[in-house]
Amino acid sequence: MKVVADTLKCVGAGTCVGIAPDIFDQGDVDGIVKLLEEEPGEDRRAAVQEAVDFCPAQALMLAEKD
Amino acid sequence: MTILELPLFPSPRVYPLDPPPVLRELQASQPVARVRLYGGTQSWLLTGYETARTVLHDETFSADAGRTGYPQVHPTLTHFTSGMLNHMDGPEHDVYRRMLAPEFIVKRVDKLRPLVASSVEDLIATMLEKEPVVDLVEALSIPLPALVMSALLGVPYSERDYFVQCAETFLGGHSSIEQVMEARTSIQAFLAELVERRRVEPQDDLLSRVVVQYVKPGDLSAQQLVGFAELLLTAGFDTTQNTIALGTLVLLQNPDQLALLKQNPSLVHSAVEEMLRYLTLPHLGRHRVVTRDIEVDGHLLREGDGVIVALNQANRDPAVFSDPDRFDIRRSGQPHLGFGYGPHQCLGAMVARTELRAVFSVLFERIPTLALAVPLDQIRFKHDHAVYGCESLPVTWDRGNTQ
Repeated sequence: MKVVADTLKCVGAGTCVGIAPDIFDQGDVDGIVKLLEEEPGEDRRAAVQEAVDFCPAQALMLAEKD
Repeated sequence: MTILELPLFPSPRVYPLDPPPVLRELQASQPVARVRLYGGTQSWLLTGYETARTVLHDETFSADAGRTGYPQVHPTLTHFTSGMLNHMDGPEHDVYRRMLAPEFIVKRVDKLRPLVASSVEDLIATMLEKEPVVDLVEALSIPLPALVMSALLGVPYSERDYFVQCAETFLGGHSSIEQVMEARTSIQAFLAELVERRRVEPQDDLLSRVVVQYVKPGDLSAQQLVGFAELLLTAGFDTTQNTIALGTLVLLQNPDQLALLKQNPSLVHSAVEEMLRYLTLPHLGRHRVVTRDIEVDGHLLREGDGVIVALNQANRDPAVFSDPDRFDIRRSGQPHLGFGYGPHQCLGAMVARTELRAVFSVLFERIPTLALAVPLDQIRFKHDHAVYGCESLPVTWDRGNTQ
């Protein structure tokens, strides 16, 4: 499982950080998403999926590792 | 169909905590509908959840209130905010939003938590010193966001009383037009002076950081920053204030849900999200204007057409929320649209959540017998305000049973 964040789409709402602070962070200067963990463990799948679903900017994607 | 046969938007509610019934009917029969507005103009009205998300995320739909065709749903709605961040589109919007977004990131908002918690404790303690009946709006709903917004902006402690008083007159909904305009002028002058002070001597607060980062290098004028500060104050005040009052009311109207929350305080997070979904206080919706012909669910929307996204009804879409008119604090699943959606989603959502969680994690713990002091039909609701709410919420409690 791989998380992909589109920093151009991100509006800095911080929804993902609220859901999974171990995986997502926000830049101090622009509030834009930063990935703390690009390939989180399977145990975090539900949280990552929730962050993807809840993102108001549709800036997050969950990709399977190839 | 003649214009007079079109449904009128907004329409009256029947039960004060549900959207107007006509919205439910339109959602079922005509989720993309033409409606008639107060001035005799027309607009599209969208009531479906998925369509709401699609449109609010698509920049074909402009938020610029100055464009021809922008829906005029209320005589004064865009009066204070035209030309501000919430009415900008595209790259211009992104540039300014990113100047403010770092102030609302989770890490920074978390630092407000102790202040929010102690403010809630103090306000409830003060309320309990009084003889019930007490108006919860005056005792808690109005002062909390006013205190939090002044701390966030960096209003010096010694000047908070003055600032909070002006903000309450400007935004509390209890003042005459003349008083509102006077308070607004006072706030603008106060903020302009504060920005200037922070330019000379920056502190650890929002205004100082934006001054140092953007005003000094010339990317933003001091006047623009004053406008932003006023917008933040407006956006952070009315919304949270009314959610505190109606959130209390909806819990009191649903004793089974209140009992659940009392038994299991960890439900406060989902309870707050459910309030935001169920109440959706921006009841006039989000407004857009179409910038090029586009098809939406089989309907051709023309360039220059107005579009109203009915967030409140979209949040009651049975295709997304099972038993949508039921207030259920254990609900999980799809995200609600209470903070809007897309690039304009509420910037201060985390601040609002912090305040609401603080209130609803202690209010009924401190005052377990809290109850309405009047029947529901005697409460006056703000039907014609941009943000729905109630004028006052008279509450009472058993004085022998508080903590």
